[in-house]
Amino acid sequence: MVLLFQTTRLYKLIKWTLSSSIALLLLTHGTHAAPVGAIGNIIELSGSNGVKRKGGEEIGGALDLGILFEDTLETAQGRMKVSFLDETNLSLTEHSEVTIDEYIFDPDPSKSKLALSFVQGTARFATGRLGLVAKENIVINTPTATIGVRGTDFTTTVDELGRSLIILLPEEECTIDGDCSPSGEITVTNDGGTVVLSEAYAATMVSSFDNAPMNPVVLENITILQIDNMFIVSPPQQVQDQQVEEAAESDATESILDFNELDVDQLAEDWDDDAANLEFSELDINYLDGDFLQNVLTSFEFNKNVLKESSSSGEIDLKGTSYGADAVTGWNVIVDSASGEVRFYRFVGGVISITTSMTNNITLDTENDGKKNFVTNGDGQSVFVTIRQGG
Amino acid sequence: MNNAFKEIVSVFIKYVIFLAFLFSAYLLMGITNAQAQTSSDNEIFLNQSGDTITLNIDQIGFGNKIGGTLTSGIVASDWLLTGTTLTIDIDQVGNNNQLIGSTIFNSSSVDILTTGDGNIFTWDIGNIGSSDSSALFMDFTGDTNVLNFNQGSVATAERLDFDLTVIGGSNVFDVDIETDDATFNVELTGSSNDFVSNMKDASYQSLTLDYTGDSGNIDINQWSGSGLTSAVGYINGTIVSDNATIQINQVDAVE
Repeated sequence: MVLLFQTTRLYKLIKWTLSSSIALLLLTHGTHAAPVGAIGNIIELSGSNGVKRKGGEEIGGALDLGILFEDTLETAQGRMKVSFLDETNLSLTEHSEVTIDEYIFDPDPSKSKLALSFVQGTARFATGRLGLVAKENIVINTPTATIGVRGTDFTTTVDELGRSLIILLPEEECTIDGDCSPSGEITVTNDGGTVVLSEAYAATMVSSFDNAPMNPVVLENITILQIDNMFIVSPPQQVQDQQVEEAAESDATESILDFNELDVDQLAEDWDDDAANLEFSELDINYLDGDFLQNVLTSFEFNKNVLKESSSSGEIDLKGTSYGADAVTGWNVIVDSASGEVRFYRFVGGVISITTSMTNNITLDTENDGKKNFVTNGDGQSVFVTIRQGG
Repeated sequence: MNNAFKEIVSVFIKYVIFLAFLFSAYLLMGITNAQAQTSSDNEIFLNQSGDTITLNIDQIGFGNKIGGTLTSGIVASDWLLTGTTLTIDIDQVGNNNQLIGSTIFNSSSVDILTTGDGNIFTWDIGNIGSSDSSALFMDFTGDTNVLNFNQGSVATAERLDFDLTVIGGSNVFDVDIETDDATFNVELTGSSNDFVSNMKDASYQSLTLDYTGDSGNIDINQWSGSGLTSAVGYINGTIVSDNATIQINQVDAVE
């Protein structure tokens, strides 16, 4: 009887061991099935870019080049768009780097998985519309946050300090009458907390893994085309304003005893209180932001208060836009009193720069994708410049 | 009486000889002028293919022509010039000159100088084949000149640096550049000039215009074309004018 009992236990032990081994073998095989073949391929590219394999091998980017599990996609002076098996698309702008941490593609979406790490640069991520990978199984990591995907289309920008800017894009381009449905929701999480982006063009910024993501702000006057073509060197002004506001609220709750002089970045302080003395010049234009066709976001980079003070100089009779940078019209107006010239610079839908005499009566009639503005200097009746952009 | 008669006849004969001399001189001058008039139209017909050609042409005078064939005094067909690494230097000085040609080249350097009025310049670069990596310098000084310039309309073309300088009035310039990575610098000085620039199908296009003059009509177009994930278009204009109409189209699409 005892012998029978022990034999039975031995049989169960062997059976359990075999079952476990087979299951483990299948699991292991399943986990590594993806790297065997390509999990996607490059469908668009321009300029210089490449793929770094897990072993360190570096391959120049080429159309239809197969992408493997654990590849790192890199761009220099170029761009790249990769399509995965589940029709998820990943677009990288210049100087960007993304590593494919995990990719499992299974006929059962709940068993499929996609994990990416955005190392630096700007990338647009659009999940496959067929839902071949369950969204809860998609994980996007940045140096300072983890993005949970419940939407389909968003961009992530990671700067050299690891700070992350995430923008949720609409399902389709917003219409003029304000119809603007988001492509879903995404969550941005780190050790400091979680925020949910649920509106089209909602954006949040994450500075470190310990500090909670910034409360979302909705970017205005922007289109998908602009997003596609932009290269975000620094975050949009609306995001910066929100950061400053939250920092001020945080400071207000602190005791004076919490003040540590070493925490103050003296170099970053603006010690010139006389804003009227500051003039807008070409040096104030962030030309890095003008590298691409559309970049409305960075039109907000300028210090509006300083510009409004400067605009009272009255050196030119300007109507329809502000002296300095005008986020609404997109024009940067620079007066050079020494040469007697005024320069109109705009980097929306391409770069256009018009320089003329300060006394010249010029009209700039601009229309970009249906958005119009009309700028004049003087009576505007001498030189007529009609600008039509878009497409 | 007899001596007096002889004296009269002698003077008369001298007078007749003098008149004959004057008439001969007049005829001689007329013939010389006619020959000069005939020879003033220099005509160069070119049909040349081959690499690393160095072509230097100086045409000075009235009604000079460079082309393929001539009919009724005007160039009837294009010159043909094909090759890579060409060096072309053409100076036409005078009025009513014509330079009409079809050219296919890569990696070439072109320097054109035209001085005079009423000149006609029609040049089609890369109408077949390719026309890559070239540098063009063209200077026009004069009035009522007509330029039709076309690069890469049919063939693929990449990397063009084109500097065009125009000094004069009532000129009509039409420039079509269908070249990826094209930089076009224009200096336009004069009144009543009509200038059209079409830049197409490129991921990088840059046009810099320095315009000084009145009553000008300037039309600048940049089309990035199709199939591009990104495109950059730059238009940089400096305008000194009391009366000008400038149209700028910068479109992310096909023309």
